[in-house]
Amino acid sequence: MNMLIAYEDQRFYSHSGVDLRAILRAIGQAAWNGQIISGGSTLSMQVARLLEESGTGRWKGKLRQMRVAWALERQLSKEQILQLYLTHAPYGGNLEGVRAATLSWFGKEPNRLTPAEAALLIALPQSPKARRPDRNRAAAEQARDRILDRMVGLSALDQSTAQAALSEPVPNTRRQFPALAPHMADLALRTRPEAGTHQLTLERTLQISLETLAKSALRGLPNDLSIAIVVADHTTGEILASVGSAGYEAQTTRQGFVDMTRAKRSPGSTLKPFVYAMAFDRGLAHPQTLINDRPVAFERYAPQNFDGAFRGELPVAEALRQSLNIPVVLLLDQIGPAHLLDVMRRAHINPDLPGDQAGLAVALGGVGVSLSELVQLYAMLGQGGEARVLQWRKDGEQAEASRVLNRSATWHIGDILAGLAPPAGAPARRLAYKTGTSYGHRDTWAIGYDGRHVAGVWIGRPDGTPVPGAFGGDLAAPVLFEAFQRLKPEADPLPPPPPETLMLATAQLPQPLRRFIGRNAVFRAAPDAPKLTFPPNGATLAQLDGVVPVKVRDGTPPFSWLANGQLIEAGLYRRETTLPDLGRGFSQLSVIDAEGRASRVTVQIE
Amino acid sequence: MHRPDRLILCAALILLCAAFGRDQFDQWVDATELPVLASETSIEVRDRNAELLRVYTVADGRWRLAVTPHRWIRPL
Repeated sequence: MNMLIAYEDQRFYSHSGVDLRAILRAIGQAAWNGQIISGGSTLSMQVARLLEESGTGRWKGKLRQMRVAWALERQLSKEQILQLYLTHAPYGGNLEGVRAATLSWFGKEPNRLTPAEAALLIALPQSPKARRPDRNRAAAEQARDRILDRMVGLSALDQSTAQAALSEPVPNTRRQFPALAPHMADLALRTRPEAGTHQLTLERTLQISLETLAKSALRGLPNDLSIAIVVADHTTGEILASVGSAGYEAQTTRQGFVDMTRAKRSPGSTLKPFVYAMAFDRGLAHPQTLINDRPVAFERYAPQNFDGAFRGELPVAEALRQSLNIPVVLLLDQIGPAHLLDVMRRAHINPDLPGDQAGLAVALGGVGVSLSELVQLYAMLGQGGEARVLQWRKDGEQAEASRVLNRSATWHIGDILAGLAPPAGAPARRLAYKTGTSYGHRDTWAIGYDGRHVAGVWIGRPDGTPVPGAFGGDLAAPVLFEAFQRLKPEADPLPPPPPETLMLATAQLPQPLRRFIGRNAVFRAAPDAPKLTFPPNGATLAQLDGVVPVKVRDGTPPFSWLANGQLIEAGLYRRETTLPDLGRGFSQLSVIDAEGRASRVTVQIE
Repeated sequence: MHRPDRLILCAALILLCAAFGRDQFDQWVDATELPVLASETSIEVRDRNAELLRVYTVADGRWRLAVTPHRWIRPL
């Protein structure tokens, strides 16, 4: 860039704004040759002209420029004047200043320019219209070469460097100005409109790589789908990449201008790990506690598994891995849905409730959460239960971490989720991750973390309508693993279990932890459970010889019979018997089968 | 630009210096109404390593990015 001063204004650092010697030389040359050979304008005068946007020609304009140049020199340092020149010099079209020029013509900042690039930058402002490389490449090249020759003449360049520079091609197209992380950039401007520069925590290379990934992930899918990806370092709480759509351009059908990292959507199964973590945290269950996956009904709410099947008793860890709905609702029923929302709020996210009361459906995704918020929640798991607001401004205040869940509870969750089968081709136990699909296949999610980073992927329609056809958790998970692959070649391992962690098999657990039985749940009878069929419930019976005949259907023999809590008969393989000596009034009759399942009726005896 | 312009300019300059003298000249320069120096520059969004993520055009649709010369220019 010092070539600029050598070429345009050799005595820039010594003159007082107007270089009389240069003017005299210019006039002399003009008089001698009959045409303009060199300009007499100093950089200061050119700045004066650029600021006032007056023409070069008329002598009155020149005088005005000289006056302003003198005045500028008195008020500003040489460096400030140079800065003004470099900010305002025209480089063709709507490009002003040297940085707009280098970004547009060379695709880089004006550091480490080659001599050929520098020469073109000197040539352009003299005649920006006629020498625009994209419109008139020959003129641009000619002008550049003339300047390179001059430089050799002024011994600012040696011959061999100049020769090399002459063979460098002149760019022939304007490059697009960078528009990375467009949604977050817009957000930065919206939230701080007065700032001239915004420094974010994003990492440019990763951002580029994931924006490309977002585009390629949607290839071959319905063309109204959008995608969002967020990656953060949970050890520092900084967001490293944030992709709000597959492309910001408005002409696509994907509504790419909508930032889907911040849209509140149903998180599907992705909140389940937090219900389990709370159950571990509160000592309600251990990963090896057995829990029943069978038909169950709460008041007006009867959750079903995604496949409608029931798996019977299984360890809690397995219930989470299989993402079963009934066990998680049983747990949340005991914990209380309001407490799950409280955990989310303590992790500094703002869940969107459809009504004013949190119901059990929250465990299955009946609440609005954004991808950024989910990533922040999972960052808390990655941090062993300590939550903090994820940062995206570099100059933002470092948020204090606060404990939401205990270390061993979150360690267990990481351990369980790391045991999930990875998508085809991905290494096992690389990530602790969870997928989710919201009701009606509107959203599909995959969120995961390792010892250092956390990332989340969302795919769906921006308008939240169901996506027909094959659309589910198998779509987002491969994108999540690919995002981690692009972030770093090796995963950071998950931490070892904290010392207080209980690593026990079911049989070694303290008695109350071996089996989890929901407090308020009313299990619907299994189809093969025993049914006391006679007498029918609520019947009024006449006393017959002091005995009541009873019958049981289904169930596994042997049966035990009770009347009013007293064992009457045990070990009966027959399905019919008589119970003796029931007094007048109400009596409760029960039958228990070999598996401990019971059926009871209340009868009145006259 | 044409020959007469240059000559007139030169003559005017000499006349000016001669007639009004240095003091007059100083007063004249000091009385200059300067154009607005602080012009709007493009808003820039940068990454954690200060690399450019996104720039916006200024109000009239031009790209005018702020420049700090000492970053790029070694003195001659």
